[in-house]
Order: sequence, then structure tokens, then C-alpha cells
Amino acid sequence: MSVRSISQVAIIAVLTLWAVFCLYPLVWMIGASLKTSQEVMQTYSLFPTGVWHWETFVDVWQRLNFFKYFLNSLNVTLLTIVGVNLIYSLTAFAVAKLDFPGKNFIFYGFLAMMFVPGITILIPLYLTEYYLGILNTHLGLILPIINGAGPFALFLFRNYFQSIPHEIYESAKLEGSGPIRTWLRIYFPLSLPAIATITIMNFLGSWNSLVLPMVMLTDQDLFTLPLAVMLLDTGAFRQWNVLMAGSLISVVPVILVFFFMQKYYIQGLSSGAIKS
Amino acid sequence: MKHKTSVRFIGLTVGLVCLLLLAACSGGSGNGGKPEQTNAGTSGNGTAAETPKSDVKLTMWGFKVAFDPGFKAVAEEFKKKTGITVETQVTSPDDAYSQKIMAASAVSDLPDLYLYWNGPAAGAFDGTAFEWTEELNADPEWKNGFFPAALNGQMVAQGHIDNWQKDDKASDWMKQRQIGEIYGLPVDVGTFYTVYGNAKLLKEAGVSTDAPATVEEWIERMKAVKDKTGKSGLVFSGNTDSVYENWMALLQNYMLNGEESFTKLMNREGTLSDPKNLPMLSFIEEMAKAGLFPDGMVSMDIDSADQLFARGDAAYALGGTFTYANFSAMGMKGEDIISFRVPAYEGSVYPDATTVPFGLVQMVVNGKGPHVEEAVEFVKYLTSEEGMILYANAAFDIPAVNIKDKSKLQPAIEAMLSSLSMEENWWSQNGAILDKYWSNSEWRLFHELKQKVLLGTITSEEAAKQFDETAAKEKAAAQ
Amino acid sequence: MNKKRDWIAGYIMVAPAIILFLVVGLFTLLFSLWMSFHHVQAGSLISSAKFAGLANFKEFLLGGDTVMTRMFWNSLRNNLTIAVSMVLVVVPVSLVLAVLLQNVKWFSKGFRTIYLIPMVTSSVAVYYVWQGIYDPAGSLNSLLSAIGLESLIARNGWLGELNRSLPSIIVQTCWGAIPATLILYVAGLQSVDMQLYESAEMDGATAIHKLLHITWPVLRPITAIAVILTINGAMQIFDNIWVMTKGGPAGSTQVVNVLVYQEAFVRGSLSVANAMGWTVFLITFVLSLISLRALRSKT
Repeated sequence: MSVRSISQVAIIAVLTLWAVFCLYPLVWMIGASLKTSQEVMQTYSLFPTGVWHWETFVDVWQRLNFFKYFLNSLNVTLLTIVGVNLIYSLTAFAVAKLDFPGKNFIFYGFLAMMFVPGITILIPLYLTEYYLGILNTHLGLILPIINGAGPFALFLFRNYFQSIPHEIYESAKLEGSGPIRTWLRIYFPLSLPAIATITIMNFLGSWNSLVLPMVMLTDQDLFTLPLAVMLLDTGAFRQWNVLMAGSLISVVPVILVFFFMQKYYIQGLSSGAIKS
Repeated sequence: MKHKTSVRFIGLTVGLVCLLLLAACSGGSGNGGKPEQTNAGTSGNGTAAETPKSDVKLTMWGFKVAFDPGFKAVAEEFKKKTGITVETQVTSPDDAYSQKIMAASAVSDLPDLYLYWNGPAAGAFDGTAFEWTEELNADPEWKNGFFPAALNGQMVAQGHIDNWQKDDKASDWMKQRQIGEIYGLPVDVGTFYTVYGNAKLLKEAGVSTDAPATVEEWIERMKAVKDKTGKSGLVFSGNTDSVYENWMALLQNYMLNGEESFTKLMNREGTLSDPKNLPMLSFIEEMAKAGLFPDGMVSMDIDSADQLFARGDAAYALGGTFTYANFSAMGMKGEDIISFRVPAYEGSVYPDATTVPFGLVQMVVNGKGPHVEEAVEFVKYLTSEEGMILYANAAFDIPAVNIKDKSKLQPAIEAMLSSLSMEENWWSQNGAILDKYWSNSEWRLFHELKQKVLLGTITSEEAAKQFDETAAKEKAAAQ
Repeated sequence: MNKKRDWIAGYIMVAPAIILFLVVGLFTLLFSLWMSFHHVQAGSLISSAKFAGLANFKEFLLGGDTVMTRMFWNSLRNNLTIAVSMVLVVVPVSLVLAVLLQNVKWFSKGFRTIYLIPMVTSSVAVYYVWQGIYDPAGSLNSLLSAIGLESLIARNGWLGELNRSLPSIIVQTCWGAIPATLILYVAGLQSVDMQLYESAEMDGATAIHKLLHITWPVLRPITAIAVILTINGAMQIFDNIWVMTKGGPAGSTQVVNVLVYQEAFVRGSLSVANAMGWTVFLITFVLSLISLRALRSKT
């Protein structure tokens, strides 16, 4: 028993060490947003030595019109998530349960798309969107992000569906339910853990996306939050405290989502990715 | 279980939405202070009845936040005169702007007006840009208002044509350019080749604050500063290519060896290993060995380097006429800043070369846009005496036009303007040779070699050897 | 009859994804591919394009442009170094942490939440924070001198010394990448049926036996996924390097995507940039296939 507790102490020590390593940059960011810009450049101490400027947060939120950009990010991200979940669970169901020519080609083809480097695609994508007239719109961000999230979402959903006992599909069929109805009524609701996983992963990716909005959006009113934060970084020299405060504010929603959805995320992964 | 979790999820969402609504009520109404503005320069127009009406709205893109007030001031007056609205958009930093312009040019969707870095046919994008020869010749008074070097620096010269003919990456359009064509008008002028000094620090070290006669003397002074105060001697951006080369080293080579030798070097007929040319690298080696550069300079970008100098951690900094504004913005006092032209090496052929200001930023009109006429009109106004005074005062920049009534300019700008020599010399007239720095790829290697010498991982001789090998390979490949 | 119905339903269900792909995916891919085989000029893209065959590829693969070739192969070497290092660090560390989390009695959920932070805060600001940590006057150097290891201090900063810049970037990247793999392993470990362990213990199995025959079969596919995703991530690395070092100093942190970006947006060589991108795609694809095979055959 004492061996047990010693090893517990050792385990906790290691885990704590790693936790500190994870937390340090975040804590530094918080400290930096409470300092003045000069102070940030002068010392690397964790917290301000003088006054703690809480007003920076309020200042950033109001002066720089954060709420508008926040809504923009929310708009893009929510629509992306809805799109990814609907489109790829539909596709995954078809690939998992139905048999039609080209099924495997479609599945593996999509997977291969994961390896295309995003930077290379940027200019052609710009051109595509220009001709489609969706440049400088939120739709122009949503569509490529959904398409980019496709491969992994497809993979996860398919595996998840395959892990659900086939009898459910059979019995639904016997009751006369067509594939689409079966998906809608039964499988989609059942795949909540997978949906949670996909939601979390894509929330993060879509929310923090920088390069795509930067190239596609020219209308400042449409900017997403991280983009707005980054472009606050203009002028003769950076205002570090503002940048840090802004970044923290834009990170808060993501943290909230993660915190609450953690359990489902893990559940979804274990059923979807592991049991394949 | 299913039901509970969905309810919980919905509850969460509703909660979040409420929070957001609350937040919306309390904030988000401020509008000022945004560095990027999409408002036209029309704020505060009182005489609505007398303003001529126009439906035309022009879009202008820029990359320097500091200059935007200048353009807005001009746009405001322009609207009063013509009713045409000009909307400015600034994208910073430089590479974000470059990316945006590149993407827009790829789909041929450039705005009506855009700023671009200087250079003949730079930013012309294969003929998209409007060509100015006709307009300039039609109005000689306006044409002659420009500083000759500024205007000439934007014109295609024989040397450029030669370069483009030989470059197989140049497009057909580039190869068809003629002498004298000009695709963008200079907005401001300035030069590089300026060393700034921290007068306070220099006095503390007992070092003279006037210009050192030679590089060697300069190094001695820097050593004195280090000994007496512990501060570094010189700082410049180590991670931006072209700062050291373009703002200092190439000119020094020209001063040291004369135009023939310099031209040979740029044409790959001379070698860097040649003792005449080696100082370009051995200077860095010597300074680094003596510990006269600040630690980490190799990773500094231009802003960081300027900040280090403004903080008083280096005696000297490398920059251009445009750098002065940065230092003031960072809080340095005018009386603490001294400046002089980059020193020449001892035994130079041209130790007293003057630096003629050239156009730094040019305004390009999208010749394929829907409102070419109005855009041209705006640029003509911008570059008129009246427009340039408005611009210079609001942007704190030196105008490209020789203002006759200097009293209208802010004193600091007026002083800088008067200190510039306008007489052209070999250096100012041979931009095409300087341009080989950009088109000959061995200079990309030079940047990395310079960093390695700075860090002490190779000697300058070894670096020069690698440079020469690559230059030789490139030369052979081009034949 | 049923089969036909399945077919129709199948195609209908697959349709949205395919249409989306055709609209924003296919055209983009084909156009990018087309650009890599032509010389294109920004400004008059299609009208003045000239067929170039393999010339663009030769530029950076075989020495058409000496300097660019040198830079490309250097970048590739860096990418591969990053890929290998990351796999060797991220996978074991995540696994160990996951196992520890599984076996700790208190605070496991708390630790888990904290461990997600690097993934959640990935933004430009965090990269600046790390730049600060690596600065000559930054936290890392301060820490080293505080614990008496002054000889290890990086005088020019951890991102400014030629032999330390890439490792420093790798550490920062791993820091950000471990949460994802960690969560995968946690999920995997949690999905193992406890009864299997108990019955194995009753049969007198040793800890190692349990590990190899119960745990590892579950962890193997996870490891496969993790390795592939890590390699893919390493080959596509861009954001943090662009913000922190832009590939410097002296190309020590130069990676392919940075080179592609510079070619496309700073130097305007769209053709070469696209050609490079597709080359990287091929290499990443092949690498992934190889690792998949290697991990599968470990029966």
C-alpha cells in the first residue's frame, strides 16, 4: 500500500510539472494584458509590478468594437459546424451502410484530400471564389472550411456508424424506413458523441482560422475575431497589452465550449476512432 | 440519458446567448481609434450645397498606417472640389499587404488606386497599371514639380530593359517595355543610407557626435561606447534581407571601389572574395567579434531594431529618412538624435558621395478599372503642390514634389527637405544596376551567409567563397 | 430491386459532400495543378500563361535556380526533422501522460482540462509569448541562470542561434500538438473494458502481459492515426514558424510552406509556389502510406 502512495505522489508530481508547462504561457498572457505596453517589453515577469490594469479588457472590448467581430466569428463557426455535421454524417452513413459503385473511391478519395497543403490552394481558391462571387463574404469562408473538415469528419462518422450494431439498421429497414429516414431518425441522433467531437474540433479550427479570412475578406466589417485581434497589431509599434487582452477575449468562447463538451469529445473519439 | 444531455446542452446554449446579449448592451458602440478605416475622407463636410456631386467612389489601398492620415486629408479636400469620394484601406504589415495585392492581381480585381513599393513597372502587374507618359507631357508644369530623381526613379531605363530581356522569368509584357514608360507616380521621397546616433549615449561615452570620417573611425567610437557604457555599437534588422545590403553595404562598396568595380560585382564579373569587395562581410565579422552588435540581432525585425535604439541600448542604428518618424513615435527627443550618411571605408574612391533622395512609395492607378479618369484626377491632385502639402503635413512624410511655398510645410519636414541634395549622380541614375540585387538569386544566399557570419559560425572568407560559387553557377545557367 | 434503391439513396446522400467538393475543392485543385505546369503572371493569369512542362519543378528540385533548390532541399530536410522529432516526442509523451491520468486517484479531470490549454489557445498571441520565452532576456534564459545552468544560455536567444532554433520550434510545436494526441489516448484507454483486465488478472497475467495483449491492441490503431496526423501536421507546419522566425536565421527553421508562401505572395512566383505545394503533397502522402503499412504489419 505504501508503494501505491509513493507512486501516486510520483505520478502527481509528473502531472503537475506538465500542467505548469501547459499553463505558463497562458498565465503570462493574462499578466501581460494587465500591464502597460511598455512594461510588457521591459520585463518578462509574470505579473505587473505596478498597477494591474484591468481596464484594458473593457477598453479593448468597447473601443475596438469587439462584439461585432465576435458575432462574425460566431456566425462563421456555427454555420460551419452545422454544415460539417449534417453533410458528412449523411455521407458517412451512405458509405457505412449502403453499397453502391464508387463507394470506396469516394471514401478514400476524401481521405486523401487531407494531405493537400492549405497554403498552395490559397490563390486558386481566391480565384474560384472570385468567379463564384463569394469573395469577401462569410459564405466564402464557411464553404472551404467545411470542405477542409470533410476528410476527418467522414472518417469519424463512418467508424462511429459501423460500431453501432447492424441490427438497428436491419430492423428499421424491416419497418419500411428508407436509408435517408433511417439516418435522420435513428443514426444521426445516436451519433451525439461523434457530433460533439466534430463540433469541438471544428469549433477550434474555424474560430482560430487566420490565413483564410485574411486573404478572402477585404471588408473590415466582416472580419472574424482573431483576425481583428491580429490586425490591431498595426501602427508604429505593437501595443502588447492590447494584443494579449484581445487574444484572451477571443479564446474564452473556445475554452468554454471545450470545458463543457470535454466528456462527449472523449466519448465520441473512443467510439468513433478507436473501435474501428 | 440522451434526453438529459440534450436538455443540458440546450440550456447551456441559451445561457451563453443571454450572456452575449447582456454584453452587447454594455459595449460595442465605440467607433473611434480603429487603425483601419473604411470611411471615406468626408467626415465633417459642412458646405453640402456648394459641393459638386458625383456618384463615383474610388477605393485606395495602402500599407503604411502612418501615411493614411495624409491620404485622407487629401481625399477630403478632393471631395470638396470634385464630389468624388476616395476611400482608403490600410493593410499592415507589409507581407499581409503584399499577399492581398498579389491575390487581387491574380484575379485581376485590383482596386482603383493602390500604393506600391518603388521601382519602374513594379506593381504594374503585366499591364494592369495606368501609364503616365501622356498625362505628364500634357502638363509640363505639373511634371516639373516632381523632384527629378523621384520621377526618373520610376521610369523604365535601358538598364531595366536589358535586365528584363535576359531574365527568363520575366513575362512577355515586361520584355516589351520601352524607355521612359512610367507606371506609378512617386508620393514621397527619402533615402536609405542613414546612420542615426543616440547623442545622449555618445556624450556619456565621451564620443564626438559629428559624423565619423571613415568606417574605421566609426568602429573605434563604437568600441569606446561599449567600453564606457556597456551598450552595443550598432543595431539593424538581422532577419530582414536587404536592410544591411540595400541600406548600407552596396553604397559603401560603390564609394570604396567606384562605379566600374561595383557594376562588375553586380554583373557577376567581380567576386566577393576579392579584397576590394570582402569588406561587405568582414565588417560584420569584425563588429561581431568585438561584440558591438546587440545579442539576438540576427532575429530582429525592423521594428524591434528601432525599438532597441529608441530605448537607448545601442549607440547607432541604421535606417532611412523615414526612420526618424519611428524614433519620435517611440519617444525619443529630437535633440537626442543625430544622423549622418553611412561612413565610407578608408581609401574610398568617392568618400563624399551624396545621397539623392528617390521615390519610396508610388501610387498606381488601375488602368483597367471602371473609373480610370477619376483616379487619374485624384492622383494629379495628390501630387500637385496643394495636395502634397496636405499629405506631407498629415502623414509626416517628405513629399515627392518640390514645394515652392515651403512655409506651408511643418518645420520638421521642411528641415528634412532642405537637407536633401537634389542633384543627380551616378548612383541615383543607375537604379537598374542596383536592381540586380533583387533579381540575382545569389543575393538571397548572401542574406543567409551574412547571418551566419554574424553568429560567428563561418568566416567572411568562407562565406564569400560560397557566394562566389553560387554566383558562378547562376551565371553559367543563364547562358 | 432493393439494391437499386440503395444505389439511388447512396448517391443522393453522398451528393451534398460531392457537390461542395466540386464547387470549392475540385476546381481549386485542378487550377493549382495547372499553374504548376505553366508559367503564370499575376495580373493576367490565364491569358498570358505559357506551358512550362516540368520547368517549374526543375527550378527547385534539380537546380534550375541554384539558391531556390538549396533552400527547397534545406526546407524539406527541416520538415522531415520536425516530423520525425514530433513523432518521437508527441506519441510517447501523450501515451505516458494518458496512462498516468488513468492511474492517478485525484484531480484527473482537472489535469485533463489544463492539458487542453495549448491546443485551445493556439493563436498568434501565444506564438508571441513563446517568442518572449525564447528571447535572450526571456524566461528560459532566466530560468537557466536561476538554477545555475548559465553555460546553457542562448546568447542570441533560442530562436537566434543556428543550432537551437529548430529544436526550440519543435518544442513549441510539440507543446501545442500533444493535447490532441493525449485526448486520443485517453479516449482509447477509457474504452478498454475493465472486465478484460480483471479476468486476465484472475488468470494470473503479469502487468506486461496485460499491456501487450489487452491495452496495446486498442492503442495500436490510435497510434497509427496519431502518427499519420503528426506527420501531416509537420509537413504542413506554417503558422508558428511564420510568426516566430520566418524561416530564419540563415534558413535553420525554413520549412516548405514558408517557402511556398514567400514565393507566392512576396516574390509573386505563383507557378513555382504551386509546383512546390504539389511536391509536398506527394511526399506527405507517400510518407503517410509508408507509416500506415509499417504500423499495420505489426501484428
